[in-house]
Amino acid sequence: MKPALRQVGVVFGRELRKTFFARRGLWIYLLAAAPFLLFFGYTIQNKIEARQRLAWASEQQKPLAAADFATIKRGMTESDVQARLGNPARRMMFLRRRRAANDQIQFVQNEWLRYSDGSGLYYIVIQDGKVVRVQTRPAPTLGDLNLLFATVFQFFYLRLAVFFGCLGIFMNLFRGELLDKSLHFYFLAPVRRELVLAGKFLAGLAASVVIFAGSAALQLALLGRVGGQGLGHFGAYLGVTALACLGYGAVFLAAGLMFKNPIAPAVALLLWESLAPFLPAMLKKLSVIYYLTQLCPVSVASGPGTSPIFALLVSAPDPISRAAALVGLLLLAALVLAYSARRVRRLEIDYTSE
Amino acid sequence: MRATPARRSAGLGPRGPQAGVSTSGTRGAAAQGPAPTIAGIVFKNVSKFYGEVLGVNRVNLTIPPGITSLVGPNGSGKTTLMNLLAGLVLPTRGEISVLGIPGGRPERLFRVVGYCTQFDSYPAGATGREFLLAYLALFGHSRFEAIRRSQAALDRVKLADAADRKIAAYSKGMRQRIRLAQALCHDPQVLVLDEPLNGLDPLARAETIALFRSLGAEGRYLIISSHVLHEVDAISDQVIMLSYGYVVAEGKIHGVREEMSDHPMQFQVRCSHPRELAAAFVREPHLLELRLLEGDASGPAAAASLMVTTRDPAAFYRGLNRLAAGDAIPGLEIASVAPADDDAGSVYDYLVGHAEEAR
Repeated sequence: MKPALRQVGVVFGRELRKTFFARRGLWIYLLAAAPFLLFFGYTIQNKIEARQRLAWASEQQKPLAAADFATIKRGMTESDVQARLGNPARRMMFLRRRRAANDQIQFVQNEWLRYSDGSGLYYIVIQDGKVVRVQTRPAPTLGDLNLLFATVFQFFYLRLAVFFGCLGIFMNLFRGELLDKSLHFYFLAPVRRELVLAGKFLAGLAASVVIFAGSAALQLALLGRVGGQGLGHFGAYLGVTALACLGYGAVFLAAGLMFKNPIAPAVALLLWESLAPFLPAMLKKLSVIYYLTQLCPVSVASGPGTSPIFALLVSAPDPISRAAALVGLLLLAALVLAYSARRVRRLEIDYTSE
Repeated sequence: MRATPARRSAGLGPRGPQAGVSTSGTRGAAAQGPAPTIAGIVFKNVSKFYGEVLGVNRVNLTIPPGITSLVGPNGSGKTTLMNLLAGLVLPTRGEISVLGIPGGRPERLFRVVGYCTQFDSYPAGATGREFLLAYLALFGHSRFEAIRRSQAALDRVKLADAADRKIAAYSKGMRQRIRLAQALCHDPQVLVLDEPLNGLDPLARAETIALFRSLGAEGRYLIISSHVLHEVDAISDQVIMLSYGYVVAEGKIHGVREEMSDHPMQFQVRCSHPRELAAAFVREPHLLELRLLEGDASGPAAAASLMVTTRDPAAFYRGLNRLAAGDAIPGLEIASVAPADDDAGSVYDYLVGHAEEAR
């Protein structure tokens, strides 16, 4: 092996261990685990509801279809409802306290009649003997799951979890060592500083990809989106996560060489990335999220019920092809890394100013 | 900012950017160590500013092999000079080369330079041996070679017994020695040692000083910073005196003192008749002060001594020789004559006092 490669390997190995086992990096694992925990709760709830659908369908007086529930209108009496739908699977009665117009406290009788058509749960809410509303909880479809994951992935995972996780990992590579007064270990060895930078960056990249792509894989597996038709999405999401780590990693590595306090660059970058949809076409190309959103397999902006502001935030107003987005992101990362390499050559160790 | 005091040098040719601290007389230099190089360690008009704060200013030095001490109080620029040499900080102006290697080439520089810093930071949970092995791994050595070199360095700093203990459990002195081992383990030709005797107990200090002497005798370049001036006298072949970022003197310490002809010199004369000697000297025009020192009652010839302060050392020696050879003082026996103020501390006091006066 070439000596330079061996040196990069030595730096990589040391930094990888440090990154994975850094005490100050525990919160990064929590950040990566947050959506997994969210989907874990969601999956459990889905399983409970699936069991309820089957149970209620067998316990109610007769089999029902969605059309039967469409006939239930506001203002109907309980006996009207039971005449059309039969006895419910479950019935829940309770009193609700209400302040009347003359400031007197009144108790109103509430009743929930619970039915199922086998694919959804129906709650018919009756107040003072009259139907006030019909609540529906349909079983999630494949499309719902795709959209749910895409929303969490694009809005929380990429923009917050991976963003701040990369901030924690990559800014720590140099800034953390300056704070720990340990950077001279590398700078007093016969290693080109660019190679130290390369080893550290690769270690940060490997660690962040393992943590964040690993978490994304677990999330998709939890939602059952790993095999069959979901395999393409699975690969695409892992790829986008890895590219996000590459892009944000390069940016935060450079920020770690430029700034002492990570808060200022983090806030500035978060604002910049959030404002990306509103930026002119040229400036958009200087944001990581611009490329990432174009590489995501599911468009959140076009989802049903998406609010216009949310749609704008997650949209890509100046779309480019996926290949161009990939090349653009790699180019952006390469430019930032080249700048970092220049910067690290001039980096001075002055621990007293840290 | 302080005025630049007049700079003193000793044993040198004409001054200039290439002029050296000392070009001859290193203690046993070039006997068996690494091959000598022509370039040495060269600072050419080097200045370093930290924003508006002066680190060092207009430093021109050529440091030869042997032990060179950087002398000065805290904040005088010793560590800055060392960090500049090692490339940890970059000069605002000027150039530095080490054995012909220009700045900005760590991949070449640290093959020949070992730097024992004051930074007390180590990988979490590492033992002394693991720390050295991790460092040597960056040199591209095989595992076997790294183990051999680390063991040799540990033996040299007398830390082999504690090599497999965690550094976190080391005493301050042991941590100092493991840093020294780190600087030594790749067998560098240039050793830069920032306050290397800090934290060492008396025995370890003596052993470490002996180690420095043997390394200097091998023809290596040892650059040692210290603010403990009596240690400097014990160790150094030559000194570089710094004050407020300026080099105020450089060269062999005795030579520097002799060059200070405008400052009176003190001699201690141990003899059998100090009172009579004082009476004989008292009319000499070069004489400034005479003091009788009470001696040790148990000492034979050196029962007492005379402290002479003169503005003309040559005239003092001539007068003393005349008295010793003649019979003006019957039974006069001179046990020793030694300069009393050509140690680094006195010289530094004179020079920095000079700077204060000039200011």
